Amino acid sequence: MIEVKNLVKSYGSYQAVKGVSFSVEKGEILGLLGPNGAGKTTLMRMLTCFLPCTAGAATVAGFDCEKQPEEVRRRIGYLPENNPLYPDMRVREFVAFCAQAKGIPASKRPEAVATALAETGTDVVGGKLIRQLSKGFRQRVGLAQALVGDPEVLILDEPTVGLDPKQITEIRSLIRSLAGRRTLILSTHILPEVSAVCSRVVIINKGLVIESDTTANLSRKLSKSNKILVQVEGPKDQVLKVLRETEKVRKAALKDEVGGDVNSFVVETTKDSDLRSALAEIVIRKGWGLQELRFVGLELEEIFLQLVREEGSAPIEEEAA
Amino acid sequence: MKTNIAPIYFRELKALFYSPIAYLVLVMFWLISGYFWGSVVMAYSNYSMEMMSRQGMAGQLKIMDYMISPFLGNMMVTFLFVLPLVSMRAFSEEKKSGTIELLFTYPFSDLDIVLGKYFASLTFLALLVAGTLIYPLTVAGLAHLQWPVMLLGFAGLTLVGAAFLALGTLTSTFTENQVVAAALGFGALLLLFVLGWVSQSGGGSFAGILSQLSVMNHFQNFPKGLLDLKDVTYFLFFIGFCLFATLRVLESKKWR
Repeated sequence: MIEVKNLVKSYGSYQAVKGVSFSVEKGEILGLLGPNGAGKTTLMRMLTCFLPCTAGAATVAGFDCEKQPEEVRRRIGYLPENNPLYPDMRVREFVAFCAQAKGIPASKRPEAVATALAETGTDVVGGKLIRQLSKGFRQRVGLAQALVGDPEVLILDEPTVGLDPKQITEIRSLIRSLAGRRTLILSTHILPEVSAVCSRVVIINKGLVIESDTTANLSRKLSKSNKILVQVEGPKDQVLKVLRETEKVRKAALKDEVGGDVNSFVVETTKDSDLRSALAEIVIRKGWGLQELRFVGLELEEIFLQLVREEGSAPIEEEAA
Repeated sequence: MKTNIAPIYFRELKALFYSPIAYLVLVMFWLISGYFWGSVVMAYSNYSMEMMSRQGMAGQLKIMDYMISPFLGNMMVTFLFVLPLVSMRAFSEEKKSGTIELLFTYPFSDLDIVLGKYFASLTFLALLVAGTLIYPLTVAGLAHLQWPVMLLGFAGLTLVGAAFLALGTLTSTFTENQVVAAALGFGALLLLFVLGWVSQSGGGSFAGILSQLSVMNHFQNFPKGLLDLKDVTYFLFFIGFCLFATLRVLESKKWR
């Protein structure tokens, strides 16, 4: 559905996007993940034909962004960063303008507007001025604007930024419900968003793709070592010493001082060895309290930070070092 | 490629009236032009009484020359101040709020957007000028008005206004600050206006060129009832150039 090949964007001598390639299949939700300033917005602006690319090519639904921008724009619903809206328009009036702008014939317009408002839950504020809306509703109006006319592709630039936690959950479930027939790209610098919403992730940093895979695969691929978290009630230094001296343990380190005499430690073991029972036995035998014992899988957050760091060729920080 | 001007045009027209500036401009302009009309009527009646007491030839004073022409001239100067206020928000507001990104990702061509906005401001101008036609009507029962000549004068005024708006639309693409856009437009118009004065004081071919560039010099034939192709061409070229430059500026923003 969306094909991006070696896309480059330079502003003068500064390269914001340095040759990015990926593709998105029909019906997929792709998360474009990266720290602020990674080039996500620039990439999206090129896909929506707002900015021309310096080199490379992008096609949306088979149309070239450079050569057939109007065909591409007709098939895209776009929510730009910061969700720009006309504050002096009423919600229904604004969405009707968007429908007209997208070339929906006058006879089908009222229905298209009603559908978009219903789908985003903004029909209740249809008669209100946009300036009077709360941020959450504004975000929904932004989505309604992108949705009206039922485009095949939705491109959402940081759709949940600046919302409160409840609104974030609402918008996320709204986005999930929008998928299916439609192909979605959404950008974010918030990791849980990707695991909550997306089926696939493209991580970009400093204008380059550093990883592209499904969320599950990425997590599996990157767990390089077995890590076990142990929370023990007992003298900190002694516990650490004992943990380190246990067989097959490569590393052990203090993670958190929970309070009182309780501390949590991360034990890194050699590959393919399950030390959970052994560790439990040791702790109990010493007469300490064992409060928690579990494997630590690499969360997306850790993967992300790790990748971004590796890319910057800085040494990977040791956990709890 | 199909043109898609209507959505922009209607939104823009509505947007003009969302802000108080449109009402302010209408009321101010109509008030000021009313004052101008009052003053030319007073001047005309004083002058005709004087003429009557001297030679009894008041009937020969032409209303066109002594009332309509100065009235139109005054309104043109007023345009210089008020029209930059109408055109200033065209692109600067969209840039400031970021909505320009919406416009340029909808299936519009750049030309659709520029023309839609420009035509909306022209419609406003037509309303502005049409309102002032009331004043000559107040004397229509008392004196013989040369309607064709007068309407040509008002058409000329509208053409000047259209040129001013085109320049204002151009300056609004330079900045996201509406005040700066208005000031730029006003400054550029003032410059074009005073070019006429320079050409009056100096001689030579340079002054000749300057006088050809002056807005004033190309306007003054209209109230006299003279329709000179040169003047019409000047204003149409002026408008065409400004809109073309607007398109180029918008395009360059994308490449930068």
